[in-house]
Amino acid sequence: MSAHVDPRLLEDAGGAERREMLAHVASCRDCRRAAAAHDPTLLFALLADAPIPARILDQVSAGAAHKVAAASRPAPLRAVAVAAALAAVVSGAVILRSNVVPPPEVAAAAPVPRADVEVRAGDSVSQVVDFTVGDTQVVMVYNPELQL
Amino acid sequence: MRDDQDLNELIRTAAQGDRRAFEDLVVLKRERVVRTAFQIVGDMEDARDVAQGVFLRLWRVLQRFDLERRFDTWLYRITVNAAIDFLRDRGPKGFLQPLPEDAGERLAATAPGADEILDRDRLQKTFLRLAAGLAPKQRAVFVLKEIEGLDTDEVARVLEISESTVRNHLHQARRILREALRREHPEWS
Repeated sequence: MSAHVDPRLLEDAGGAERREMLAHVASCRDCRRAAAAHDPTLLFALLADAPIPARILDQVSAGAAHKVAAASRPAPLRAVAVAAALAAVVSGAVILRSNVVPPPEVAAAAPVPRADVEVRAGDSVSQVVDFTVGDTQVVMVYNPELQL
Repeated sequence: MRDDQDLNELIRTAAQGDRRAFEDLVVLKRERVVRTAFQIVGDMEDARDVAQGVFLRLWRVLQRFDLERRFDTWLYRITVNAAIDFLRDRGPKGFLQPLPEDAGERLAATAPGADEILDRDRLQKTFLRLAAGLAPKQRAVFVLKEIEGLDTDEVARVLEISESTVRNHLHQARRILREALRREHPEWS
């Protein structure tokens, strides 16, 4: 472009025509003065090709790739991660509960009366389980030869 | 420079979950996204963070992109919305502060004349300082129209507002910047 740029035309131009005008204004002192005299805000158009530091561009790519990789993790893996986190929380709660000292009134309560259970059987008795549920004593005997 | 067909193929492949294709798309568009975000948020590190968020959002919604539409318009929309959200979250920091009484003399002594306007660093700093006095939508319109060089109808599509609203925002933005420039840099005109 050999002729000077009319600032009024630059104001309304678009696309390739505008880019061509701006390239001329960037290299022509008279046109910059004319543009500034008409409307100094026109000069901000010269920021269109302001370079972005390569460091920033690299960080954008790296950061975007990292975020996308995290967002793309397969759902089952994420479910396992959630399940593992829940399991850790639950076991922590169980461990905490097991370490809780019972309230004094419970600890001091009288023991549930228990009967002595004697099982007479041969050597084949494989298992006797004796426990209480509340006030009830439960005895479970497993002996395939036992005759009641 | 890729043509539209190559770009559409890249978008289609990335939308199917191909991260390598998506990374190529990021490389292709990152400069424009960072530049636009920078002119709106006014800080390069903040613009980097905004751009990373833009590309994560793009990854999540790329499947919804209609290849019949213009990709850059869509990407500008995501970018500008993210930058405006950033500005709103950040609050009033960076808005135009009242100048001291002798600021005019000091600026005239240090400001670039028309011959020095090609010093882009100074031009950039001047823009960022004065643009802090614009409302976010005015600033977005000015950046898209005057710096990115979009046509009025495309700015309207990016911001999802009418063309007359674009012209109104642009008129207000130019007036505010022009008055500030003439007050602070009388040697420019």
